[in-house]
Order: sequence, then structure tokens, then C-alpha cells
Amino acid sequence: MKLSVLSRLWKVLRNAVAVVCGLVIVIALLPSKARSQLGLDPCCAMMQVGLNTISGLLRNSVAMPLGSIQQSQQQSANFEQQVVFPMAAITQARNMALQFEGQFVQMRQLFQLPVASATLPMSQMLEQSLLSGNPGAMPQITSNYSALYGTVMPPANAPQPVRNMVDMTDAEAQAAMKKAVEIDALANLELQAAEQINRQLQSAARCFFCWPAGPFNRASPPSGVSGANRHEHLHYRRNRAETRFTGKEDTSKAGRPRAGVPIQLELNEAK
Amino acid sequence: MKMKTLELLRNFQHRLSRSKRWLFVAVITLCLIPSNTRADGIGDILSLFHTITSTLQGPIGGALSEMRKLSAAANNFRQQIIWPLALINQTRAFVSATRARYTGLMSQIEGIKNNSATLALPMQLESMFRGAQSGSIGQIPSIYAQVYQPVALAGNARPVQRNLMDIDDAMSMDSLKTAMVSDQTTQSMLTLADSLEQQATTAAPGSASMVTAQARVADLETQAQLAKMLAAQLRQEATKLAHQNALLKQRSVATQNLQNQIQQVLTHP
Repeated sequence: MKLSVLSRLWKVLRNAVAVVCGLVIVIALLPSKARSQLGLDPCCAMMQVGLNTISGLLRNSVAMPLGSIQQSQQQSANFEQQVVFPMAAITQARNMALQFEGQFVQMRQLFQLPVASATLPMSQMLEQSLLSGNPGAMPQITSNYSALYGTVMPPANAPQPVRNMVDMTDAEAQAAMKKAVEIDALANLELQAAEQINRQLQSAARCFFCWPAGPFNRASPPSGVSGANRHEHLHYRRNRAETRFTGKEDTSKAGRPRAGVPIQLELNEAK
Repeated sequence: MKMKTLELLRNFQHRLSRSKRWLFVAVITLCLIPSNTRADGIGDILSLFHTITSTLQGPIGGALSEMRKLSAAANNFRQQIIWPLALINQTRAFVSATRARYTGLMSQIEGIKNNSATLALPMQLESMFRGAQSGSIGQIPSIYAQVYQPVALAGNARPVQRNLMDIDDAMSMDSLKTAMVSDQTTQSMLTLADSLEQQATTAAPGSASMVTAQARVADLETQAQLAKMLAAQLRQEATKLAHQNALLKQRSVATQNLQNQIQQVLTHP
């Protein structure tokens, strides 16, 4: 009687027992992940140790050098901004270029003031040619000079050596006059070049004209600055003209006038 | 009783044989899948950790360490070799000291008055052309004419001689006027030079090149002004030479005329 009851009860409950066993198996499988999250699994402990090691390495081997590099870069940037390229100094230099421009324009206008003073027609024509600053007017100098000072006397009026000397002296005087016109023309070009370079400087972030120290064209000057050194050639040519004119070369002050130059110019050049 | 027991055992055996399949599947599932997965996962994780740590310590850490050394070395090179702050300050101090030493002396020399005329008209002319005021240029011809006298009237001299007088006077006045303009522009240049010096006392390495360029431009401007003065001087000297030569020509003509007159006198007793 009891066995039959038990048998019936087993029949009823066996499916339930099977389901329960299945659930137990599933539960037995699932908690492996749950336990690792709670740190109870040895695998989880190993991961913790590994992650701690990585974190320490990131802190020591990566973060510290990066922080040091950042600090160094920051220090370098501060040094450049405060010592090497301070904005105030660069702005001051630009402002000075502005100040220079106004002064340069004023000086050029002053040198364009009319200084002609002759009153008679012939002398006015020669003076106009001499003050023109136009190298194209050279032939007019010859004709105006002859009209004012006369030509070489005829052969009947003087011996040949005297005529030669007179002709040579006329040539030298005309050469000096023509050289003066050339120098005036070159001086005008120099004034224009100075203004142009100064205008460029106003908009320059840094000086690209300062060859050979500048970053551009260390071997040769930029085309715009070639005029800046043209005065060296002009010095030479002036010296040659003056030497021919006076018959002797001034080696103490090459290319510089010996008289008639205001002391301020000399002082300014000495500065 | 025995029969029932045997029947129960048979039923249990039968049930057991059916449950074996479940047990077999369960054992296989438990033994194969989870255990292998766990073993393989741990091995991979350990290998991954090892790779990560070795990568952090080796390539990344080493490279960063080298970068840190390089950055520090470059920084030191800039601050101690290329732009040493001490030398920059020393240079600024040198510029200031030079200015303090020479500016006063130069100003004193510039302030020396060279006026030397004693009579009224020459004093007036001298003060005018030493005044460095281009606005006075228009007054030069009248005072010049008062001091040096105007060109001789047409009846008093021959046209050739009047032309010579006129061109000589004109060149002299041109030179005086040019000198006045030059004196005025020189004052402006001195002001600019002073600005440049002041700028140099506060210049930084980054702005020094701009200041240098401006100094070069100012130098170019000064050279141009100097050239203008030299041209004026050349014109004046050329005029003097031409004047002397013209006199020689006139003497030659006069001598020839005299010779002709003497011959005429000698041929007509």
C-alpha cells in the first residue's frame, strides 16, 4: 500500500524533480560570472591584480612623463611668449614702423621743395636740368652748359694745349653735373625703397628682411631689400666721382663728402 | 512482498536508464563547456595583461621617457644657449649704459651754435640758413641779394657775364636751401634714431630683427639724404669749375681781340 502510494507520488513529482534539477544546473552555471563580480573567484582576483598593475603603470610610466613633457612644453611656451617673442615688444616695433612712415613721407616732401633760384633764361634752363633728378635729361645738360659757358675756343684763338685743357675742364664740370643728377635720381629711389620696406615692416609678424640673420634668403637679399645695400655701390661711385673731380682720393672717409655736410648728418651716421 | 520489491527495482532500473540520458547530457555540459571556457579565458586574460604591461613599460614608457628628456634638453638649450636671459638683460643694460654715456655728449655737440656773422644783414642770412626751417626757404633769395648784391643790370655787364653771375648765385642759393632742408630732416632722423635706441633697450630677441630692419631702413634714408647733399655740393663745385673755364675762354677771346687790334694798329701807321 505504501509502495504504491510512493510510486504514484514519484510519478507525479518526477517531472518537477527533472525541472528542478535543470534549474539547479542552470543556476550552477550562471553564478560563475556573478561570483567573479563579487571578487570571490580566483580569476577575478587575478584580473584585479592585473588591472591594478596596469593602472600603476599608466600612472608611473605614462602619466608622469606626459605631465613632465607638458610642464616642459608649458615652460618653453611661457619662455617664448615672455622672453623671446613678447607681444608688447613686437607691437612696439610695429608702432615704431608706423612712426617712421610718417617721418619718411615728411622728409621726402621736404626734399621735393623747389630750390631753383636762377633768374635769367639761360641759367634757368641749365639749373632746371641740374635739379631735375632725371637721368634722361643728360643731353640737355650738355647743350645748356654750352649755351651758358660757351664752347671750346676756335683753333685760331688759342694754342692746341690750351684748347685741350679747356675741353677737358668742361668735360669734367659737365661730368660732375651729370653725376649730381644721377645721385639725385638714386637718392630719390632710395627714399622710395626706404618707405616701401618700412611699409612692409608694419605688417610683418617677424622680420623676414633681416638677411642673413632672417629665415629667408640667407644667401642673397630679398629683391625688395637690394636697395638697402645699393648705397654701398653708391658710396663707391660717389667716391670715384669726387676723386675725378678733385684729383685726389679721400681714403679717410670713403665716399663721404669732405665739406658742406651738416654736422648732424655726421653725428647721426656715427650713432 | 518479494514480487513487489522486484517490480519496484525493475521500475527504478527502467527509470534510471531514462535518467541516464539527462545525466549524461548534464555531465557533458558541465565538464566540457564551462570548464574549458574558464580555463581558456584566464589564460587569455593573463596573456593580455602581460602584453599590456610590457607595452606600457617598453615602447610607450620608454618613448615617453625619451621624449621627456629631449623636451627638457631642448628647453635648456633654448634658455641657456640660444636665448640666455642673463645675456639678454646684459645687452639691454649695455644699450642703456651706452645711451646714458653718449647721448648727453652728442646733444651738447649738436647744440653748439656756429653762427659767426657780425653785421646785421649777414647775421640775418646766417641765422636763416642755419635755422633748419624749410619754411624760410622763400626768404633766402631776397636776403641773399641784399648781402651779395643782385645780378648786374643789362647795361652794366655783358650777357655772358650776367649769366655767369646768375648761375653762380643760383647754385649757391640752391645749396643753401638744400642744406636747410637737410638740417631739418636731420633733426627728424635724430629723433628717429633716439626712438630706435629706446626701442633697443626694451627689445626682445623676437623683436630685435624688426628693430634691426628699421635701423637699416633709417640708414638707407640717411644715405639718401646724404646723397642729396653730395649732389648739391657737386653741382656747386662743377659750377665753380665751369665759371673758371668760362673766364679762360673769355680771356682767350679778349686776347685774340687785343692781338687783332694791335695788328691793325701796326698795319696802319
